Amino acid sequence: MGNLEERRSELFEIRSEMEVIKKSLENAIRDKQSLKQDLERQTNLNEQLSLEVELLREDVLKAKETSRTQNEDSNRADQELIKAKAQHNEELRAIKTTHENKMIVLKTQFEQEIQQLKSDSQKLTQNNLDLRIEADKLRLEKSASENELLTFKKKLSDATQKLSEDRTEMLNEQLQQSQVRIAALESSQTSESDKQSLLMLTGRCESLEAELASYKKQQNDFKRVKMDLEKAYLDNASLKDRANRLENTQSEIAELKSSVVKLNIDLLDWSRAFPNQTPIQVSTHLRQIESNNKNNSKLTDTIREELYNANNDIQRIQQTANQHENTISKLREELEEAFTKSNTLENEVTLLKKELERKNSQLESFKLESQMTQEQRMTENENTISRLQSELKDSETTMIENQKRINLLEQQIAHHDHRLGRGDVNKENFKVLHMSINPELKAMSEKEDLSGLKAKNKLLSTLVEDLKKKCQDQGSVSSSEMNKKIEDYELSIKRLKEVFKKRIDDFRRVIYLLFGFRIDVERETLFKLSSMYAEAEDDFVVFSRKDEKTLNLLESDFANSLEPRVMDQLTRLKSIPAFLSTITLDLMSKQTVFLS
Amino acid sequence: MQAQATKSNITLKGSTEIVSEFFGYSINSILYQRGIYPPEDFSPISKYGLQMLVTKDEGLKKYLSQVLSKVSDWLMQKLIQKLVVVVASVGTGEVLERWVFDIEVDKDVGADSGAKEKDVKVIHNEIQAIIRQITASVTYLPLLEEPCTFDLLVYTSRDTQVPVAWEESDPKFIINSEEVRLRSFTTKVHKVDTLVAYKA
Repeated sequence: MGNLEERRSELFEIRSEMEVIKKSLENAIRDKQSLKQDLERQTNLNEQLSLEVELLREDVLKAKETSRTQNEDSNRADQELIKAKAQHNEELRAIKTTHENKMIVLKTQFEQEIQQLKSDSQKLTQNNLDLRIEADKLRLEKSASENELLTFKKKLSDATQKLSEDRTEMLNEQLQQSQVRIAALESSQTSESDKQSLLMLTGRCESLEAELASYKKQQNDFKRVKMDLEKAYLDNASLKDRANRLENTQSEIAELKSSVVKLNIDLLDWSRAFPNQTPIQVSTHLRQIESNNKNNSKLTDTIREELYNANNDIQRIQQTANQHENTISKLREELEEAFTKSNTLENEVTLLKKELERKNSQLESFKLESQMTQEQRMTENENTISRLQSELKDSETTMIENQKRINLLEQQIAHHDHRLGRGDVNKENFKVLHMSINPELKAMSEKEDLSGLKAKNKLLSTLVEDLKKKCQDQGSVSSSEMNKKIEDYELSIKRLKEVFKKRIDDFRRVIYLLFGFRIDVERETLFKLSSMYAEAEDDFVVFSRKDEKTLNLLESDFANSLEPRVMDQLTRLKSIPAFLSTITLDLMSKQTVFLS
Repeated sequence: MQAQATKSNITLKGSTEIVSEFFGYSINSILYQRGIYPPEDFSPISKYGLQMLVTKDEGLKKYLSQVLSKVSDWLMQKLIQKLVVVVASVGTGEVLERWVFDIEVDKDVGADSGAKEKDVKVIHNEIQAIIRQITASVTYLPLLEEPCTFDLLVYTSRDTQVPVAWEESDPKFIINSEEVRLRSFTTKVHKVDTLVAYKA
């Protein structure tokens, strides 16, 4: 009895220890759960951080891109500005140089043109003056030559009138004298010879008279010739012909002179015959007549020469006058042309001056405008540069901030990578599974078995040593008693085990009979339920115990083959007893036949 | 002879086969290279243009085939996110290495639609590069001086039903780890990134 009480007390102690262990296990499970929750939180945090990291990475990349683009834009803007400046300066220089060159060229051209025009105008004025002087001279010469011509004409007319008057008077006087002499001779000499000579003389006189008449006619012709000569002043060709005619008349005059000489001889003969009239007197008369004739012929020659000279002079003067008139007309035309040209040139000069002024004004305005635009552009560019510089500074500051943030985030990323590599996982989204029986578990169980055996061996050896000590201490206790005690203990344990087994078996049998399911404990947390009405040995469902209140159905072939109606009890109604009942009813309806 | 690049249609099923096969060969390589199992337990086989070593241990083969068949199912259902080979010390239970295979799947590709075009040879070349990196990892990873074991963790979606032979596990962290990212390969349906984390 005492032993039984001791054993009971030991059992109680064991139970209390078991309860303590259970409590400690529960605490451990709670700790585990809290740790799991912590882990889940950490994983959530990890995910959030990873998302933030990704966002920040994106932000950083964007910021980098924006900063790069800004840098590139600023560089481009600077380059463009420099290029624009250089181009603008070059353009301005080129425009200045071109304008200066153009100005210089235009100035030189205009100066040359002005000098040429001045020289031309001076030359023209000189030519004009010369021409005027020459025209005046020519006019004077013309007037002089005209006066000379008139005087020559007057002289010629006077000379011709004198010549005609003198000759007619002389011939009339000679005729009268001869008639008087003839009458005197006729009255004084009455002899037959004289009569015959007289008849001859009268015949001769008649012939002389005829000759005189012809001579008068010739004189008239001579007058007419003179008139023709006067006309010939106007017509040179007819004048020459008439000059020829005059020569012919002169030859006739010469013939007449010879006839006059013969007549003088006859008159001498006749004066010899007639003493009243001395031949000297007749010869003097004849000499006078001859001298008069000579004088007349000389006069006529001189007059002819003068006339010829005058004609030549007149022709020359007329030619020169015509030439001068032509030159005057040419010069006038040239003068007019020069005037027109000078006017046009003056107009051109004025136009060019105006254009030059306009160009100068344009150039000045352009210079002003270019200066203004350059200044404006410079100010704009300076503003943009300052703006870009400020933006660059801002972007640099943001870059620095972003760089810091990047570094921080990279550290965080490294940390998270580290954690991820270590195996952190978000338990809300993922489930970590492994096979229940795995090499690690096997190895660990083998190790545990070995260690357990070692521990047991140790424990037993200690117990043996304790017992040996007790035996030594007690002395009285024999080894046979001890063995007996041990056997008793073992027997009692065996009995207890048998009792427990029997009671547990009874309990399981009763449950099997009551609920129709045999429950096998596979592991601490797995419960295998086989139905009384199962068609095959593999038709079982497995539940895993998550905690004290919840059981989860695990996947199995039988569970997969259940109808949705049955599964609804579990999934929709959340009732495991109803689920098991429906399974029982289904299987029973399949396995049994109800006989009424 | 001139090599001709032949583009082939890669469906979800074909890609799943390629990826699960890669997992099998890479896990075998890790186990051999890291000395988890003795070298005499491995037999040579040529694959991806390389001399690969595959386990002869029947128990291990069975375990790997079970895991990989389930991984294939989850790949087809697009439920898997990661496959992790955890190398732990037998003596202390401390996690020493984690070989993480991150899996990304093209959401537009279905079981019967949305095939992608990629040359299988190119995919094999990419896988070959990863296997070479796993082989070369011996040079920089710390030597495992104590007996080690391994476990395969599968990161699935939260709504994945846990099969009978499976259970939820803790992620088995490494407390102080250093990470080395290896190459990745893609079938255009699945993309697999590889990372090894080891105790510093």
